[in-house]
Amino acid sequence: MNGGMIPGGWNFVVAAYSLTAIVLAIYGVSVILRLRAELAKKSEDQ
Amino acid sequence: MSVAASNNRFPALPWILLGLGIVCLAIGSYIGLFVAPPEALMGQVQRIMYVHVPTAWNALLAMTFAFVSALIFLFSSDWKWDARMEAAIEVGVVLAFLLCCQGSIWAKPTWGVWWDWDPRLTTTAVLLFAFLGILALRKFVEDPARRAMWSAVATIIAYADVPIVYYSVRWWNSLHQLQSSPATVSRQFWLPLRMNAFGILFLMTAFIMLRARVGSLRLKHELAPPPGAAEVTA
Repeated sequence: MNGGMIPGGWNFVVAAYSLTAIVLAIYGVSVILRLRAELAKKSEDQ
Repeated sequence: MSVAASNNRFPALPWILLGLGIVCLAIGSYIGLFVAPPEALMGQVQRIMYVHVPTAWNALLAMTFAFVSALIFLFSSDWKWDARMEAAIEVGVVLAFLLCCQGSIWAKPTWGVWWDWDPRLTTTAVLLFAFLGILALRKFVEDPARRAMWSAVATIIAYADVPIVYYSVRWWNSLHQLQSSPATVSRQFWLPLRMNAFGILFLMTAFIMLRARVGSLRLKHELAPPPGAAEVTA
């Protein structure tokens, strides 16, 4: 008996945290790369 | 002041916020995963709350900032607000996508299904696709003035769904639980919740600032007179 508590569940927790970290990291890197590309274009224009 | 310069008044600030956000998220997640006790009924699965709820708060906050930017753009025609609106919509879409995925992962062990057409989930999905549609609209319209005007109006219309998402659990019979308050959440639970909320808030602000800078640089390029135009008019 577990007193009504949902047993286990660590795999779901790990999946949620990993997904959050991966999505935020990929988005962050994409923004930084786009900024670098725009700054490079700006310095080329000048 | 040029469009690009106006969204780069504090160049170091986004990087400071990025660092602060990562530190807050690391500490909050450590407490949420290893220090906070399991919840009485949901057990370990409840730990998903420490990333799911802060993501929800910040997704709605990003969309609120997009709505405010759209209003200011329509009243002022100041291009920097168009870049800020675009940045806030994009970050809001990323957070709303993450929100739906985290919710789905939490739903499986607690409700027994990955997805349910429950009022909270349905209105959140509508919000995600409405703002995704605005980003698609911005990709298809080449004229910057039309693009800014149409997407500002669309943002104001799409934002009507934000209060519906928030109050859906109160207005309709929903599988999703009601909003908690500090009075109903134990201190052991709200510490990691708040740490992660500030962590995602700092990250979201940094992303919006950096993305607005990208948008401003693109706009500056688009709005610049074509080469040789000055010679023709002269």
